[in-house]
Amino acid sequence: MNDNVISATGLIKSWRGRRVLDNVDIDLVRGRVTAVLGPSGTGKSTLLRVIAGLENVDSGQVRTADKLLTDGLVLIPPERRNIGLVFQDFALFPHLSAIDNVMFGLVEGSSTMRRELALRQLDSVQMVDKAEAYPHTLSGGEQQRVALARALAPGPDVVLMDEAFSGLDAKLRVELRNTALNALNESGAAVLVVTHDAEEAMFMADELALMVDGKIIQSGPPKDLYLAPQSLASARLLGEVNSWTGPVRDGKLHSPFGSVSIEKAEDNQSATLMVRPEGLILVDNPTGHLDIVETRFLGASIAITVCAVTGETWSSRMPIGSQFRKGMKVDASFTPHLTTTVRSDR
Amino acid sequence: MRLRLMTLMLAVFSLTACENKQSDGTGASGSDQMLVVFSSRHYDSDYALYDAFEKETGVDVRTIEADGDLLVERLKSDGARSPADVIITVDAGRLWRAEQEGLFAPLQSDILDDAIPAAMRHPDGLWYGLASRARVLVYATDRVEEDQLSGYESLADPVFKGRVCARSSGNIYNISLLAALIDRWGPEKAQDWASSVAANFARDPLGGDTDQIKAVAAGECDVALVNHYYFARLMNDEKDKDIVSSLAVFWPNAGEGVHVNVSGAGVAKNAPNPELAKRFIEFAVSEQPQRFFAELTNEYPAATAVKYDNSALAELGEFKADPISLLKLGENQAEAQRLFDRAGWP
Amino acid sequence: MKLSSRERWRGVSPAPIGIFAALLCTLPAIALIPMAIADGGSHIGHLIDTQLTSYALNSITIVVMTVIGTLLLGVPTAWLTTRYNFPGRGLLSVALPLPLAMPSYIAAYAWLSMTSNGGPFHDLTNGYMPTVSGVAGAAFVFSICLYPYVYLLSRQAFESRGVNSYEAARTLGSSPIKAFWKVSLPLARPAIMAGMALVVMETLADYGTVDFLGTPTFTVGILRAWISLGDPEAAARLALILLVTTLLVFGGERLSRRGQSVAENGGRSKPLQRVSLSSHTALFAILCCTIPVIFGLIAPVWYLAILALETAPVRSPVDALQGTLLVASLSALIAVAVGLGAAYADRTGGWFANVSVRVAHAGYAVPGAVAALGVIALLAAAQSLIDTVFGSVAPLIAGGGIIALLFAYQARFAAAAIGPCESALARIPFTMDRAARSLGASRWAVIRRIHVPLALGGIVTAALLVFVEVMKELPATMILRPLDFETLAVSAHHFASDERLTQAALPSLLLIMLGLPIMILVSWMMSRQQKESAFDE
Repeated sequence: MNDNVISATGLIKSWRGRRVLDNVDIDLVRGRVTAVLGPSGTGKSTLLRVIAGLENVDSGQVRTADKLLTDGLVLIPPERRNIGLVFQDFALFPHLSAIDNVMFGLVEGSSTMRRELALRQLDSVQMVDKAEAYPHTLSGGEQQRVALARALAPGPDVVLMDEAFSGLDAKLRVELRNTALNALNESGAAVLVVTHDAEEAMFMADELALMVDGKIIQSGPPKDLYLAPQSLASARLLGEVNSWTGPVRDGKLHSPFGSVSIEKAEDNQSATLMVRPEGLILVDNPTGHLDIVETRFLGASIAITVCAVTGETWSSRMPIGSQFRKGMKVDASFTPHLTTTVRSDR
Repeated sequence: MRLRLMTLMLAVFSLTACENKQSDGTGASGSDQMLVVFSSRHYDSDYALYDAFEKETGVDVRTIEADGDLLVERLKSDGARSPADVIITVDAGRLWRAEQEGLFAPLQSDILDDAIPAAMRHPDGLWYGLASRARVLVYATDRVEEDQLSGYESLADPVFKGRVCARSSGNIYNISLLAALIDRWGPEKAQDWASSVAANFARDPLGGDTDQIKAVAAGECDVALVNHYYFARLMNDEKDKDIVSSLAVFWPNAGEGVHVNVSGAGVAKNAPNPELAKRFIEFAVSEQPQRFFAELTNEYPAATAVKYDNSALAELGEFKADPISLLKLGENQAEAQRLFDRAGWP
Repeated sequence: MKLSSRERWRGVSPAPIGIFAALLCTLPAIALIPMAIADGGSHIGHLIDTQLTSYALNSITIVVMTVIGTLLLGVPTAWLTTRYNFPGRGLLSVALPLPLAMPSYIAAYAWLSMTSNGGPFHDLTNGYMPTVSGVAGAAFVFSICLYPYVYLLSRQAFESRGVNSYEAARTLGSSPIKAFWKVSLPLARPAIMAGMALVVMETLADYGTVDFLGTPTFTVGILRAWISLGDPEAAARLALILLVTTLLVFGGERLSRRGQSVAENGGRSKPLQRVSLSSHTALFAILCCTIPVIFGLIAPVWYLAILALETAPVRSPVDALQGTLLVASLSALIAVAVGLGAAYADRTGGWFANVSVRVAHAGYAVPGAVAALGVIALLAAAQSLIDTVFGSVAPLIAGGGIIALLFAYQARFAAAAIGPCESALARIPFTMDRAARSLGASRWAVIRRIHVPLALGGIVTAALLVFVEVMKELPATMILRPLDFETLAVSAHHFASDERLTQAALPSLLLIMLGLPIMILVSWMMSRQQKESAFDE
């Protein structure tokens, strides 16, 4: 049994001499949200547009279980792929009202039936009362809801969301993510979310793929990726991380902030130690070898910057109530599951 | 604001640049005297006339050429400060209009009175004819017998139903002709004539007189109403003379005779140099310039005594000109246009 | 000191600039009003009884046919060249606007001559090709000469707007054709209408073409009332009727669009992905895009070139060339200043400034000869005013002269500059104005340091378009020009009106040759602008 609605394999595409897709494989599975996370300009949107059929590739395939969609020569046009696409700027049709936007993709049935369906869809995003409004009179969040309803109305097999929440403010973003996730789960479609926001990616995704320079460098459930990044790049994509690279000695990495053992590593081989700030635990010690150079109150925690004798600085998150202040001397320990070592294979 | 100022300065700058150029030009010709001619003629003969006058007198001739009515409007608005010395128009109707607007100053000149027949000049010497054109019939010799034609009446003959070509009624040559016919026949008969001619049209009026001649040559129609000088020009042209080889001109000599229209010149009422203007007009009716009109533009010189060399005009032979007072052409002009409009002659 | 001047600028409302532009563009038309209500005009009744209906009908028929023609030639070619890839696309997209360099009266001379008996097209098709004449012929000539307005503006719309909307429609199950009809076309409607407006106004204002092709229109009626019937009052009334009708039509169109804003959100546009066409469809596309260029430019130019080569010129065209360059470039400069000022007033001023700027557009619909008449009347009035004030030392401003000429050009063509300036400024978000003002820039500094550099493409386009228009202008030039001043359009007209097409060929050809590189530049500037605005990621 194979629940893959869309399988993309070996996608390669160059744009002005640069590889925007470099051998990308990705599967979209029914009822599951797949997120692609990467910095701006790494080819995430291109991947989405290729899957949508808006662009072709140089080589590689996009296919459903029984049909080839894209392979560099064949290009099934977007209107025959049964996909829904939500754009960063929503791309609502400015000359149509909200309800007409949602009805745009509905072709079957009488106009009353289509209207019913569109209203139901607007209802699921709490936009029924603005059904007759034109897009330019709607707020950003409202436009987003209409755009989502429009994409979901025809009952697509796949929903693609291109930076769909990045145009909204933080509070609205959280609220809409919930709305969207509910609506998407209800639809049972396979979902691909493209974003540069790590929190959004982890929140939305069942399966997360990290993309840098046209390559998917790691994929898996968000938690695995966060806790066990396979590279510094992966680790950084998902959040702030302290790192130190140096040679292995006696099966251990001796950073100025502390030592950890590393498996399967030979002496003098270079390796990188990565510790999430919340995994760097500080202990007040007047003879400690680290200096606190800065503290910042963040609400739920305090951000503390410590400086080692070598001059390198790391950051830590400590719960509020701890009495750390600038100028204090401290020692540090690492929380094991927030600490990773990676050998530099070269 | 500064932008507008800048452009204004630019405009003024270029204006002075223009004027510099003009004064340079005056300097180059080595004379302080300047004669300004407002003309609605723009023919080779006129340029030859200006050049000859400059050569003869050392006076710098400046011109403005524009269609007759625009010229009248401009002279009117320039009023007392008009730079014009001489006004030349191409049609008696326009001479009449300029006269009505009081744009001419009367001129006393025995030279002019001797050279130009009374019919070709204003009784009070407001203007003098320079050259004339005759309105004639052109027919295809293989399809029309000469004895089928008797005069302008023939165009209205039912025999020629669907066989007549003429240009549009807004054209001044047609208006002047009808103005003359109103005087000759009275308005009712003139109206009938215009209506019958319009009913005989082979096609809607289109293009200029030359186009009517070409249409007869091409067999689109059999008879056309044109000015003699377009026909003569084709006869004199190496490339075009084949067009007229199977055509002939019929002189509507019967009754009052052939309708002749005149180009004339007068001294502007507010002429800065009235003496020079008089000298120019006297020069224009002298032998050499009069020959220019015949030899370069195929017109009939107003100074009837002048002998010229033009094989086409010689071939066309003698004709009997309608002795109508040219003033009538102007007076009847509006009436003529109204008759045309009622006749449905487009 | 410096601060105070800044303060002063902050306090100044931009509305006067808009009003200035509006006055400049409408004064000649306004000058017609006292004329229209003066005594006289007795011939109106006669005209209504006889020809006026047929004039009006001819005008309407020609306008409708020309609208259809320019839409058919302009919109599909714009769509094909922006959204698809086929051999020759780049060349064709630059070549398609070029017929704008061809004055329609010259195209009319050439086409009538080519298709009438003895002409090359007539002989080539054994006389089956109908002669370009009458209502259909005029519509044909206007279509092939004026479609570039529609092409240029809709191309701009297709490139910059609705790319996302088009793709959204595709993902919602629309075929390319359906997405074009239901989304891209409605989104481009304001741009297409703007192009249409220019086409309609030029068609209505034309005299030379319709007169030559033997189809008297309303404008011919105006000139006949004035010239043949000697009734300028009647002419002024008819001109005002024409003007008001035109304004009503376009006002109505604008009104019908109220409530739906067609501005796309965000404004982020992606670099266009052109779809490659298969060989059959590519051939079709090439054909579609070549035909307008052949009809509008290549065929007439080729014919004129042959005529010009066969004929020795009787007068050197150098003076006329210089004259054309002088007035066209000066007018272009002034028009840009006016256009920018008006667009700026429209951007930052209140409703009054906005209305003024809308009114300024109307100048375009006034036939050239009528505008010239208005300018003359206006200058005469001004002259008598300053004469009474200053007496005999008063400077001579009435009648012709370069200032009167430039004024008449502005009255007619400043509107052509306001449009591009407006859309160039519209692309600059207001946040930039505010950012600049918050950094201490005066209103003027915002224009100079933010607007001008960012809108340069649009400004240059405006200047070039006005250059081309002025270069082609005929009636106002003829009557208002200074002594011994000649332009190519005037020379060409003189020869053509004397039915010496062979002599008219050389100045006509020079006119077109002068216009060609400018139109190429316009075309190039416009597509470069698009690329710039599409630059992201």
